[in-house]
Amino acid sequence: MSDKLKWLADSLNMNRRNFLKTTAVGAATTGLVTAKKDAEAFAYEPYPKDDELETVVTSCAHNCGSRHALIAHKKGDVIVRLSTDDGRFQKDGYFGKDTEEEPQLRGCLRGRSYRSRIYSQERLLYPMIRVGARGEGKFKRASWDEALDLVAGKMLDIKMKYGPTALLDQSYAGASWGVFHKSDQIAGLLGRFLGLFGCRTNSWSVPSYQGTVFSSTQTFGSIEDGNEDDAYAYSKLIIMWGWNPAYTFHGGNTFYYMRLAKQRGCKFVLIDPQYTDAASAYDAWWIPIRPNTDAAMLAGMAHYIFANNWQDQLFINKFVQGMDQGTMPEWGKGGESFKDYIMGFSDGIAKTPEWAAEICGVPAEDIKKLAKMYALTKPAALKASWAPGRNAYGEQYNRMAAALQAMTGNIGKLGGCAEGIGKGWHAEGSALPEDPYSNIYAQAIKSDRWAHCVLNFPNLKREEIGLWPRQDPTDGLPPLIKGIFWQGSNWFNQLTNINKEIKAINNLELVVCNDSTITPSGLYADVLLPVATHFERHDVALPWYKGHYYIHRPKVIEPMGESKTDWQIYTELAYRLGFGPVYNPRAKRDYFHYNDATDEEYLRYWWESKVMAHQHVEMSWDEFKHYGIYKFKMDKPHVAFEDQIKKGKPFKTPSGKIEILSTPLATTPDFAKTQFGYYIPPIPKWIEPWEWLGHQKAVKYPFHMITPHPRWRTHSIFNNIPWLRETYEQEITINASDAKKRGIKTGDTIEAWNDRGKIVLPAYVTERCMPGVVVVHEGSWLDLDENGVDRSGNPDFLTDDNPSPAGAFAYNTILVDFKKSDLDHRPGWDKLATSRSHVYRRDSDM
Amino acid sequence: MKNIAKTFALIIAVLCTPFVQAADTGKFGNLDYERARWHPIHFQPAINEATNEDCLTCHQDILQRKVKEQSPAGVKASESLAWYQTLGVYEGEQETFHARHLTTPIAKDLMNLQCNFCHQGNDPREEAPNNLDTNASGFTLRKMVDPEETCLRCHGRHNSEIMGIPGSWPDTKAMFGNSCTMACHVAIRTNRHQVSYLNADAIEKAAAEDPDTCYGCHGGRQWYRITYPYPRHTWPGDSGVVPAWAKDRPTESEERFRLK
Amino acid sequence: MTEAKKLDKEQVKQAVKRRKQVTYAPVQPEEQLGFVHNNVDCIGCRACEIACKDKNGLAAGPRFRRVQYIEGGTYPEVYAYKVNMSCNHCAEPACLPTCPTGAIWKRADNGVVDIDSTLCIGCRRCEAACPFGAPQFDPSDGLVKKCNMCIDELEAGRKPYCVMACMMRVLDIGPIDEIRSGEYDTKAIGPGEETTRRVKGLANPDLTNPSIAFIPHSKGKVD
Repeated sequence: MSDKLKWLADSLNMNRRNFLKTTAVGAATTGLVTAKKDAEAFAYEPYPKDDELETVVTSCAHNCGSRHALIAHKKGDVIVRLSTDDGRFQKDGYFGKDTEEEPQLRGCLRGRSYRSRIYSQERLLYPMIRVGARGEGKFKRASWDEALDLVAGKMLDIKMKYGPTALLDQSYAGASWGVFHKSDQIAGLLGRFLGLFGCRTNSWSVPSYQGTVFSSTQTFGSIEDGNEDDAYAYSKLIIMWGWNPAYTFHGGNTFYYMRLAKQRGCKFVLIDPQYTDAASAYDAWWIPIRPNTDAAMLAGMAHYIFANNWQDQLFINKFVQGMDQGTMPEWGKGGESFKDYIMGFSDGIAKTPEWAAEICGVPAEDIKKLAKMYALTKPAALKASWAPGRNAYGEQYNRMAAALQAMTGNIGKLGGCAEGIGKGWHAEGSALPEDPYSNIYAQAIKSDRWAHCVLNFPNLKREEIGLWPRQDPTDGLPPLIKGIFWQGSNWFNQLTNINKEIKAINNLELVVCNDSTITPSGLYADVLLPVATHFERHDVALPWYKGHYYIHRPKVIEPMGESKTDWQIYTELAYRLGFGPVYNPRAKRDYFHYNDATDEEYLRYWWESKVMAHQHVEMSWDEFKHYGIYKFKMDKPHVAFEDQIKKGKPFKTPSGKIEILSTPLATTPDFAKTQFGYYIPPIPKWIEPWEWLGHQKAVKYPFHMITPHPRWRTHSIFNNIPWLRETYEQEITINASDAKKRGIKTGDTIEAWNDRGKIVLPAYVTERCMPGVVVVHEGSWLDLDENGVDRSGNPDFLTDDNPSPAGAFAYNTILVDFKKSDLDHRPGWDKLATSRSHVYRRDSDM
Repeated sequence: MKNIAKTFALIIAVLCTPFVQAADTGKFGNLDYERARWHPIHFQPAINEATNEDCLTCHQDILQRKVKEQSPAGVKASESLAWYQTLGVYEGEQETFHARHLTTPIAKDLMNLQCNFCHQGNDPREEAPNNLDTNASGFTLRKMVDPEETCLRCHGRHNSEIMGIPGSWPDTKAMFGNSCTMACHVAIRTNRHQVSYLNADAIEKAAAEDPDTCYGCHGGRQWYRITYPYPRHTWPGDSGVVPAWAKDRPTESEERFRLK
Repeated sequence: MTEAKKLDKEQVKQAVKRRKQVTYAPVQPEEQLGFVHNNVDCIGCRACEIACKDKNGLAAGPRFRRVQYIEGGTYPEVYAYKVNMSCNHCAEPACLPTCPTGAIWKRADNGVVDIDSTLCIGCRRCEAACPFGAPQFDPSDGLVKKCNMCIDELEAGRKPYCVMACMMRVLDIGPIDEIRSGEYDTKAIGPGEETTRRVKGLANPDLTNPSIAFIPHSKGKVD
């Protein structure tokens, strides 16, 4: 171990290897007193205080709905601790500055744990080449030359043998959310690399919110349907539909502005199978609802509003297409309007609150009460979150919610809400080269259908894999996939129906994983390429979908081990494959070793040509770097579609209106020729999902499992962090009366299963979950026993990869059964570390 | 490699869970850590029947761990004395908390403490009642032992006011010949310490030899600012008049501590 | 090395002095700082906990600060709230008199119950005596450690890491008398909210007079 690492391990008080050595000879109980005292808790000397350390402003960078400042306090090349925004690190800042206009950007528990992630045992420090079977976790350390030659050679080989679709791009946003180092499908570095190489199948559909993307795009012609988070402080009623802002942050201070709203008299309602922490913090009226029936309840509310004539008819007449017969377009006159469907004029079934109550399990009286509250309280925010859209026909829920937002006239108004996706302020989001090479692909498939595609090639219909239409002769030809590249992605662990993926991956000839951490996906890769974390490379942080600020993200420390940035890795590979100068136009041939100046050049250009030129920013790049954070000060909260409503600017839909009747959907002659494959109604409707509590499958599998995003991980990121592991358990939440019937109490080990797989995890028995529903948070790191049972409790062994027509992942459409079990649950990062010790062994003395 | 991996896992488990070492769990069978911590013995009512041997099957650590000979900065245990350790009846070397209450000579002589005297349950989830209404364990927040019901019995303030003495015991003891049992407690409240967790006879004997024995608990090791409201048993010669401060006090020890 | 040794000796001397001074009469600080936590508005995110772990360099095991999740009721009439505590820097701490080495002392300026764990011999009496679980045993080095309200940050004119980590601004420190009287300007206390000394489940504050105030949940109130 290098001196640097040793010092580090000591200073982190985490030197488990030393602990191992000592205890292995039987001294487990004596405890350790190490000679080194640096940076230990309460060491009398020296205990480096913050002001004695070097302060570097940076941010968190994982794929959550927010982005917060992190302040690194470092000594030499080691981060001693992290703090967060305290008001000092901006122009005219001072300690404690925290105003409603310029709130502090305080990091959450995940952000605060970064130090233990950077220096974790699971950190990937060297290139590795697989020597065991896929998934077995046996690798040998390789030189960069060896690893890159292997990858480049195989790429050429595969492209030659199987053609331009053979390499599947499964990059994702796990390491993205900077302006420069990007890992998404559209602007990401891997897409650019494989596209320029001429062998790439793209993965479309966003796991978290594809149903919502569809809805916002159809309805508003834009995913920028979000207000800035400070707008929440002006609402009189906030309906959190499947939304838990105490867990999943959507904007840097949304939860805090909602607290201000509460203090100013706002009422809160939660529609959710669980009584969440957000419900308790905002003292919300909890309406438990059967999963996947949200569209039905919304329809019942719409009926009650129409029946009482509480809709904002002036708003509807002026801004909405297809809400009722009066707002039908010329080409659609006499066709079915939203009101026709709701009132039953078109199909003979009135979608009354009583009709809805039968489906969703919410008493009709509650549906009426909520409908009245929402229709008569102004302004009111119906925040239609993503989770209920992660269902079979989840897009219908999101579109139905948009219809209610429109009929009550709560769009484009401060305190109202049109979300949806919720993208608010528009950032200058990219410092990448401005050329047309970012997203070249030979085919595009729906991302969670890759295994289905690989296993069934070539006997595939378009709708089975969501094949994107092309304007050339290859249209409709399923891709032959022989390799996968991962960048910022642990998709093998995160997509639906993992058992199907496990079958499919052995048909591949090349799997390459770029990551800073050894992930479960990495264990199935052939080559692991170590990536520098965002503390080890230069970038600028973007807020996520809400928030108006930039945070400078300098290289805080040198890349650990032999890690390199994704830019360096792909540039070097591009040079070896012959297109280096096109791939990275500002770089020189030695970029793999000397990247700092080039990266600075890209970022300075971005700041000067985009931020300063387009966003009225006068602060220079150097000044920005000096302060660390640039906060835009707005005279009033940004409200989506304000210009459309106040100034008559048309919506970006074909009609220029809010399209409750979607022009594109109504005019699609043949859905089999679209990426959707199946018919999608032009107005939102309740469509029965393929699995839910009202389905006959519920006889065999009587519980509906939902799989929300956890608080203590971001998807699967941070699953290995001991600090965070201490704060939670991967568990199955069961309603107390259900548990009682089965003799289950908190702490019992449970196995939950359906036809797709089986998982083992402990029970949490509570009154806070509705009967018939169980909850397992997504993202635990898969850990199979010899029979293929997942001991980590990863719910994606139970999810279905069947695509919802508009692309929504059906993560929350799962029927299961469960029972007390003798099987083993292995929760621990310790056990994970054990399985991974083959991989990340850093030196020979272990 | 496999062995190392196994040891590694074990070590980490120890590190994370300070009180439980891997152990031959004997009559509890082959439990992994996950299951062991949810074993019924950790909960009411089974914990009431748990013997010290049962507890120590897994939790030997609490007795095996010794105080350091010296602190990292060089404070020697042998030269350390807190003020209460200067009491005449304090004896022995520095010891850990658990040893002082369970295995030191004075503990064995005067007390009969069982693990479940203090530990009335355990909640591995939050160290607090999981459901306030249906699952109330009586744990205080962040503790699995309520000091008001355990520690305070011996480590409360000396309740000199209600005894009608003019000041605190250290200030007034000379007035009473430095003797509790001669001055007052030879005649009043003589029915005392008759509970299963104390050795009443041994206490009386020790008190007769050195009044610091009484004060040692009743004020001399005062951690808390209040006193324990002891039950008010009648005693021979008890006038039967209950003073105002004793109106709400029970006249018998709690059921679980009564001598059978 | 010699420098370090010298410091050790000085440190030990001071500890001995403290031990003699501190017996029955708790230090009466010029000003007693304390925490205030809003049990209702806290979303339970535990950023404060992780900030604390990072600040104090703790591995998994000891948790100085802990957000307790309390819930109750029967479906669908349920409730939940949080109680967030670390060391309560009691006016009359129980940990302090138990310590045989003088490692724990109460600061005269701000009432912080400070600890120098390098003077600790690991007897764990303080851990047992504290009614609030503040002193924590670290099995990796056999020492007891606890919150010192980030005394280094206080001395630098800032607030402790946990307070500065609070995303909801429901945790704060201040002169405890002013917090209790409502004079103290803090976001932790909302308009019209009043603090209480005790919430359900909290050990009797009369034991040690902890310097903490809560905005209680209606179900967490103690009569």
